[in-house]
Amino acid sequence: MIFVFPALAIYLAVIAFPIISSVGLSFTDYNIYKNLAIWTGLANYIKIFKDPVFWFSMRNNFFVIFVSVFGQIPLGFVLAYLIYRRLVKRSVFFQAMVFLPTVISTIIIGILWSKMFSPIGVVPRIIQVITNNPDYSMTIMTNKNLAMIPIGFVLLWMYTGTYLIIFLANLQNIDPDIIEAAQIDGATDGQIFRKIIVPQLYGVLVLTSILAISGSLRSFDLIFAMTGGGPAYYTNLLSIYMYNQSFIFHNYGVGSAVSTVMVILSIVLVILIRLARRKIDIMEA
Amino acid sequence: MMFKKLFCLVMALVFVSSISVCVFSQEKEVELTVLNYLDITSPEAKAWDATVEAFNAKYPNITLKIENSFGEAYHQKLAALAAAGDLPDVMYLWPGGRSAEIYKNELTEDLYPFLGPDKDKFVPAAVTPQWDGKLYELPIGITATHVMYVNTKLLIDLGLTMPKTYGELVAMVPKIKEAGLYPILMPNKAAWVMQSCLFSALVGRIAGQDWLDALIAGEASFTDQEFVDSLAFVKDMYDTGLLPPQSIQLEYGDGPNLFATGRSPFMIDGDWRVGALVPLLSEEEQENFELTVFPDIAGQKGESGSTSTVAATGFGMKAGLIGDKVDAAWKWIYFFAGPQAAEIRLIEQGMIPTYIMDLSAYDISPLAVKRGAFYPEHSGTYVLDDKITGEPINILNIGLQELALGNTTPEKLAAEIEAAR
Repeated sequence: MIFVFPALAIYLAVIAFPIISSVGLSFTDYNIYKNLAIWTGLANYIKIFKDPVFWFSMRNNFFVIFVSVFGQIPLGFVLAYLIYRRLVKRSVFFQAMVFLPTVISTIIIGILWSKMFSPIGVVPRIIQVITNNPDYSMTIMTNKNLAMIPIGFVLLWMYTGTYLIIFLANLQNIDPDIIEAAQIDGATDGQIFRKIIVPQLYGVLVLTSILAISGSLRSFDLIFAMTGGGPAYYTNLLSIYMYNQSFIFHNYGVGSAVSTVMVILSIVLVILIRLARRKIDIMEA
Repeated sequence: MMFKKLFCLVMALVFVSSISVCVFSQEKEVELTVLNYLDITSPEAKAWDATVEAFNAKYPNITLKIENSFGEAYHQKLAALAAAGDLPDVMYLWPGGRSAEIYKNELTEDLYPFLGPDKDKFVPAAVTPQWDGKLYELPIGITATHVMYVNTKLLIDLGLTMPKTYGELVAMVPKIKEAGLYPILMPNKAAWVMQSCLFSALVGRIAGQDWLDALIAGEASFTDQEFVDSLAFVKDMYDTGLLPPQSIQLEYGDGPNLFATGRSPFMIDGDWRVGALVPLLSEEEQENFELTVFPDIAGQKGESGSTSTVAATGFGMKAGLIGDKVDAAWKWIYFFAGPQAAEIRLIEQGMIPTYIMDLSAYDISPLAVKRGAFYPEHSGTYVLDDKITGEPINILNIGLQELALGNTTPEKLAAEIEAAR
């Protein structure tokens, strides 16, 4: 116990205490400048649940989760598998290129893509040249229902490299003799992938899914730098909504209520993934 | 012997006094943290650098530890620092709405006691109380947040003349578009731009100053027809193509370059943009640019030719500073609004100072001269985010973007703002 104490103390101080105090503040009208909290019960929760912007932000968060879990992870897995089985030439260069965006500052990436998608940026210009339409502009960026799509593309571009490295590291841990034995027994590449590779990486898939979900729920910097949540609130995430409530509207209680919802949502999604894994394990058994 | 003793005493006194003079005349080193509102990539950065250099030369014992930020990021940073109780010693502040939370919570010092009789050295309108009878920042100028910049040469090349009414302006759209140009350039990806640089002036023009006074006094509502009509007018500007849909995707900082390179005959922005345009245009080219305001609107209740004005921004002092820091902070605040820095801004940016000085002595750029001539020609109405604070102004800012994209109606938006009041 005595050896665990320093780590436990740090955890309680920087993780548990802020979460608990934030939950407490979510039931108050809090003036952060005067450190004065007035009990308001569930008023902050009622306020956010009645706010369509909150639900729209949550919808966008689920889009980011969807892109992460069903885009970045499978893509990272496939790319890692291609490199592992040496199905691409110059695999080291290929690997470096996919991983490169991960080492660039998120804010720089946000600004970079914001400039690229701007009406005077590179992407619309290329489309103008290809379509021979000088008036073309990327209206998708201002479409309430589609504004998240370019962001989804940037998320894929930026984070796939992280999953590629995780999967590649784990693929390299698989004993090559098993694959060789399967090949001698006449197994096809598809069978090796489905029957040997994927089952061995179930644990990693669950881990990356948890990472993707928790990362997506607290996602903030990239989108904030790229669009600031705009136009209007069309690319808002819960974290940006929370930030606006706290630091623009100065409703710290409401901001705390949003963060509490995010924590609950995160826990529920992680539990769902663990349940899914258990079910798969039982089915496999 | 006596003489020898006296001589020694005199020498000792001289030595002690010279040491004391040396010790007491050497001012203490002070470090001052400064949070400044500046886009360091903008041409205005040159004037800032010159100002800091001049301050350093005048007060070598004061070290400025400067952090620059711009746009919404600045306001968010300031709010976060205030919330964390970690405000810098001096910070850039707004006279009203935008800095309201800082003033409401008394996080900065009242500057009247520091200013004392020097108050008379400033234009009276600039040093009127800003909040609760106090002066929390020392304004560096009077700002017109709405200016319609006109590239007269481009207008003539297109075979057009300066529009006197909104109808005439709309009639120009096909010709300007045909030439592959933006009818009006107004990059408003940042939500505050539309409200501050156009909508405030439109409300002043369409609804009139009396209605604005009634609104602030709580005797008028955002759902009044005057305000709904003002919102509908913005929608109409997008529908007629005056404001192209791309303008909502353009970064605020893109405006001056695009305008200076002839991408539009008109640009709507604040008067401060003169500072960004001057370095991009030669003195000859500047002769082809004019500063005016939005043309007359049919049925307007406000004054023809009005713009939206506010006492400008300036530096304020963190509450509770003690010792040498107070003196150093005031020296910076006064220096920034005072004659030396005002001269730099006048020459570099054409900014007319609040510090009373003889402007005829300066050789300033043609566009800066036009900026100086702009103020007496145009009466001022309120800038909304100076008078309205909190959620209503944010709903308005975001709502103006939704309105432009056709996802809300003027009536619905007006009702939402009123409900949040």
